[in-house]
Amino acid sequence: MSKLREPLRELLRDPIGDAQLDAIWRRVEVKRRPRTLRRALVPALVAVAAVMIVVGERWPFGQHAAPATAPMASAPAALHWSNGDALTPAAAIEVVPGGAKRVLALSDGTRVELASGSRLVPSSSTPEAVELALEHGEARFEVAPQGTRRFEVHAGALRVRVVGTAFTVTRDRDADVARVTVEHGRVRVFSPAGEALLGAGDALRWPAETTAAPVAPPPPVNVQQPQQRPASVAAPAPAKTGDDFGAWRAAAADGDYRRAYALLGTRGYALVVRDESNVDVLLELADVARGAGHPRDAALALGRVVQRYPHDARSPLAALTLGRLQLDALGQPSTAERTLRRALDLGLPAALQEDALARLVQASAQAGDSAQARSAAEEYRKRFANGRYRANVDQWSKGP
Amino acid sequence: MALRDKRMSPSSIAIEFEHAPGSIAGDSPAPARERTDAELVYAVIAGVRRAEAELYKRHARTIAAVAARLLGRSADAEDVVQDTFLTAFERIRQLRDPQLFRPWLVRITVRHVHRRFRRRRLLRALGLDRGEDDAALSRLALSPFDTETRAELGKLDAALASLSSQQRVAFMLRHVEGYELTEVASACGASLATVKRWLSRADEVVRAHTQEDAS
Repeated sequence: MSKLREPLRELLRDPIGDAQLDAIWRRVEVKRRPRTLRRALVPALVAVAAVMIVVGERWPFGQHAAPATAPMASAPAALHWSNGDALTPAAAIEVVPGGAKRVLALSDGTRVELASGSRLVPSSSTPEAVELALEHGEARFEVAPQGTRRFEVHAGALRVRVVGTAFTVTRDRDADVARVTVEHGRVRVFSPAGEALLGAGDALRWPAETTAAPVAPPPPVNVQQPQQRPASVAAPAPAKTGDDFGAWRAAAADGDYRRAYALLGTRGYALVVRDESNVDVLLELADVARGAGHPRDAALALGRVVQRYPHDARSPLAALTLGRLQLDALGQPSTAERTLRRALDLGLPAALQEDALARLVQASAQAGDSAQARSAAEEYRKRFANGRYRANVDQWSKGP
Repeated sequence: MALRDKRMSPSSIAIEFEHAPGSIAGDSPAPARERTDAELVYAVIAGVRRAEAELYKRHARTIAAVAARLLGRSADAEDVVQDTFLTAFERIRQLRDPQLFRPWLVRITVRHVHRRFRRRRLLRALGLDRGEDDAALSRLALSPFDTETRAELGKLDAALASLSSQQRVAFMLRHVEGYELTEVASACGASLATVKRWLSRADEVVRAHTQEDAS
């Protein structure tokens, strides 16, 4: 054979770099986005003159997607257009109605696409901050990571600050309506009502109440939901709960559940859960409560998912989590027994059925329901004769 | 017996029984740690999009390298990486054992690689194959100035070009990627006997090419 030592991969470099991997991931994300979300965005773009700003998120591999792939500098220089022109109001860019889209780049590789009938005015650019104003129309940005530099886009009453995200901003100058929709990552939005941190799937419209038909939040996939409360936002707007509302999600995303729970406390966790109709947010709330050491509150959020949205694809998993919580943390084996059976009935993925059945045996045994424990154990042995929990199941089902 | 719930976030679940006397552990916040593939798979099933990104981040580089070396073309490999992860996330509920996510992912990759090979054969037959083999082994040498290594890799490239796609994939998984025979069989979706047959044939061809020049 060859004289080379094996495995040969140790002699070879990786042919595909981080920038390409990030670009692939973005394509995967776009294709994974639910069709309903794409449909919800289209009416918004049609109904209002759209300002679309897509900011380079914190990609999985830490690179941005802009052509210039230089790593972030710890002390960034002031940005300018890639042709050397300074970012000042004198260097405003406009595309007349009917004109072709223009694609430009900033000096750090940030990419700007300006649609027909749009005008973008750079307000200022210093090493510390970049501010641009979209007077009207549609602009799409892919913003390179800014490091310590603040990157803001103004659209009427909205000021959108890049935190590390991809989002869309629309502005209808005539109707004085602006809207921000976050595709992924986080963005901080300042409005006359206050400040909010929006996460993936969130949207905010200003003013919140308009005569235009609100864009309904995208429903979860495969869901039969009760009628959604009318919403001009896909997630609770900052005016709803005060300044801390969006911040809890940011804290949760950082794994700081105690802080996230504390931030929710201004309105009361139970009230937040009661008013929430987004399954994603309810599951996040459950994680926050569990992580902060409040299992009863977590059970509240999970219970809401299971009861109100039984046809959501995540409902079986929420039921399993709830059943475990009731059994382990709340000392409610009878309730857990019912919940775990429900989780199995709702249709858990195959990978989780063994766990759920084993837990059902345990819950039944602890609830003193020997008949159910033996029946569930029998079912377990039939389906998972050599299962991981066989010994435990045999023990639990022996009874007193 | 004690039940320990492996604390994960968000909304993901794993349960293990531990043979320890005494208490049943309840849910308690655990210090941050890297989640296992199985935990991430459960999270994806639960609809947590972040978990998809984590799985991608963890495995994409390896999948991309394997795909590129198998195909010899980085552009084709990028498409295969995209298709692999799309397929994986769409079918993740079919994964019987989430702990085996990586080998399952490699199997998906190999299937997509074979699709690419079929497409390439068709284009070649029509005289339309204009792709550049920018990821051929000889072009990926870590040390471009090691002429002997590059020469050997070049001979290997020539030998591999004359193999069937199945033989090529089996050979490369075994000798380039360093997979065990059972891993090659799993990745190829074939029996051990079939894989051995492919490898035997591939080894003959490679030997012939490398010794031919030596003689």
